[in-house]
Amino acid sequence: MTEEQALALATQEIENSKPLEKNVNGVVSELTDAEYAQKIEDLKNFKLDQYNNGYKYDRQMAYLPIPEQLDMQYWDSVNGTTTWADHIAQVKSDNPKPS
Amino acid sequence: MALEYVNKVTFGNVSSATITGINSDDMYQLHLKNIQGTTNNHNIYFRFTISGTGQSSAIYNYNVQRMGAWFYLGNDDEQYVNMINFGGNQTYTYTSLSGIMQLYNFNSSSREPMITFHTSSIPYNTVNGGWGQKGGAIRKNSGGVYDGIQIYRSNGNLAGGEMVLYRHVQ
Repeated sequence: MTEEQALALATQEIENSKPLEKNVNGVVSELTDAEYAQKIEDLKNFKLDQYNNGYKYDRQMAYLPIPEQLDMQYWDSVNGTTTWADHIAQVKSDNPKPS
Repeated sequence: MALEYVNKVTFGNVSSATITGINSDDMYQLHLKNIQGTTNNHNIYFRFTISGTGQSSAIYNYNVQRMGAWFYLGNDDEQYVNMINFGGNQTYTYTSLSGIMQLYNFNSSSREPMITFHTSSIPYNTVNGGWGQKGGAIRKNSGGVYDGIQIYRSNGNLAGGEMVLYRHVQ
């Protein structure tokens, strides 16, 4: 996804969502033009980050805690098994990097 | 030490929510209660405010730690602070977020304003499982006089929630 594509998607999404409102100290009002522009910028950045790094966030959620991984590695070295490598491979397979 | 009530904002179905009321060099405490989203898979951000307006220039340095299997480290010179990150490609069913922020030096033009925050939430994904609790500290890379906090989502509205601001007093 290019920045231009992300911007186009974000712009369309915000346009479709209008009117958007804010709550400032309990007072609700529609966003100003500058705030709409900022909303588009924020959404564009989110989309780019999700596209470029979303699979990393998924993997980070899926990896087992470090102590458990260390335990896996120890017993793999004792028993000649591949439990730890299998776990890492499974996480990567479940959460592939976008092509 | 005690907490003195300053302000409360209860909100529903808005793009952003802002609470102000910081006007002294005291330490302040902000309670976030049951912050709900309207859709899954999103981040929750916050910004410092001047006269109630979120400051979006690249001024935030932050680090965030997730209590679990991994660490999520923040960035320098960002336009926001990413308080909760669920922007993955899997579907993370998001329930709500609650937590506490401690705010320092917000009313000082010579000292850098800083925040420590602790939040909990319960995202869940059928492939990866998961739960989330983050704590961290952030600071801005130059001084300024700020009066509050604006929170918002990466996409969609904030469905509901409440923020209550207190001031630490002797």
